[in-house]
Amino acid sequence: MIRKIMVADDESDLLEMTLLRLKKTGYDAFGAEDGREALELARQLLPDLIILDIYLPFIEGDELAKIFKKDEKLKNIPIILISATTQSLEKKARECGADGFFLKPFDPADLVAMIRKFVPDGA
Amino acid sequence: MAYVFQNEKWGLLVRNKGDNPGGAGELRRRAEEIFLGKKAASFPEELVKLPPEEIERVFHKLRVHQIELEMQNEELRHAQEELAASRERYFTLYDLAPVGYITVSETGLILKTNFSARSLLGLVRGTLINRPFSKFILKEDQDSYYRHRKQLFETGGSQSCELRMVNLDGIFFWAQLEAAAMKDTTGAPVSLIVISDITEKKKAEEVLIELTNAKSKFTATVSHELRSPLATIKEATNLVLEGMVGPVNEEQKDLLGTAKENIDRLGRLINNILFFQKMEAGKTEYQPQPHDLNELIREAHRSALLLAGNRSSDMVMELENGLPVIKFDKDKILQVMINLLANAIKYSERGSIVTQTRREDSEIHVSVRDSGSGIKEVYLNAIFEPFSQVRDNQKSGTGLGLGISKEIILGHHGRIWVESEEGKGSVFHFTLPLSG
Repeated sequence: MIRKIMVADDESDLLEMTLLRLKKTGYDAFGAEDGREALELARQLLPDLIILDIYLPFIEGDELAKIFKKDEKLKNIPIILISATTQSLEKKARECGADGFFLKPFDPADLVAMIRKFVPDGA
Repeated sequence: MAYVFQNEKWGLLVRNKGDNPGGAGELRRRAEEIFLGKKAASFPEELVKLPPEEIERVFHKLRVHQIELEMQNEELRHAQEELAASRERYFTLYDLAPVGYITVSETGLILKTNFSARSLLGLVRGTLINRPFSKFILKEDQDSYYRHRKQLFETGGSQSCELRMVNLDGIFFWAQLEAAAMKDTTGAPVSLIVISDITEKKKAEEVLIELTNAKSKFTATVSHELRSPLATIKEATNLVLEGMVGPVNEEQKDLLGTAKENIDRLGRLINNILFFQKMEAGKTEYQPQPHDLNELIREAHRSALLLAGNRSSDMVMELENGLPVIKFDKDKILQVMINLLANAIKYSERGSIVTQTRREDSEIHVSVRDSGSGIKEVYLNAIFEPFSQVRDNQKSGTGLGLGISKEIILGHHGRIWVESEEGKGSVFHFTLPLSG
């Protein structure tokens, strides 16, 4: 069964790259560029893993994570928080209930390794 | 009453009992009394009976006494002038001091003030004497004042505090109070308070805090703006390099490999600058976890091999077996090791670069030795200062690496230093304590 991963990042170029890599790794990848879009997409898609950038327009990543964790249908989906700033990334991740965090720029191999922990390979 | 003492050299030193500036006049009157007194009645007759030599002797004595009295007068006048000058000095020192002096009784009443104090408290007319000092302290800060006052009288040690005060015009100002406990002339305990207006200083502090906050916010924004595009470039490069979008030939791999190295270099640079800014703001955080130091050094070597290029055979490790696991922030110490290795590669064109680890008493000692051109003795300390680029061949770099490394090692309660000999090479050392 092919696994679905949703990525939310307001950097459209980076979003494109990340989605491409995930697809090439064998996952079905979907992207959202702001908090509202991410919320809608998650509810529609019910992905197997969600990757959220902290800085998202409308609803920030950590706020979104809190919402997801309270939602009946979404609370069991593992969430990885990513950010370009170190400032209390770990703290924010812990506080919003995220299951992992990553600093940009990341080593793609590392990100994939972390993803594999939560979602074993698709194809 | 006047006492007359003979002074061997000059004359009389008159000591007056009681504060009598007219003491000299008193002497004269007394002298006249005696002269005109009972004894005087018989005096003229006796005088006639006296032989001439006697008379001469008596006159001589009188003359001497007269001169002595005149000199004593001079001394008195001089003493008076001194007293006046002393009073003047006291007035200047106390009354005209640029800070306020206030003497407060044990019960908190103002006993004495100088000009500055009166001016600070807004007194134009009248007096502050016997007013309660606490009236001039802002209600919210009175607690602090009373606490310090209690401590002052209990311990006798001087106290200092900053608090908000209000003057007679109802205007608030920030004041620094420094108080000492003393006893007044009756032996009652009083406090001598030095009061200065620090409103300007407080304003400056506030501005500084605002600036620091603004700077942090700026840095967070900048870091985000710099790192995001870098992440994109890195991903794009990696996707092609890993063959994910089609086969890559050797030449393409080479070029992309170079691109990737430089992306990593740029990433480290951004990290350094941000870390340095945090250092300046005093906000560095370390996450010490138990790790195997030798393992970390091997990891650092793997990263450094990319920089070493065709010199990889020069990179040697001599790691002592069985080193105890100690707590340190892995990412930060990794950064220090990569920094030292990168420097060794950069500043030595040939020769081996040897990394050693040893356990020594209560610390683990790490050293990185190169056979480069060495560092001049005068620079051995300065080299750890941020932005110093003391090595003569002016190679590129921000000059932050060692400054940050030093900060990290000190933050782990270790030591860092360098030994070097010009023309022979350098050895960089750092230690990490075994406990904590």
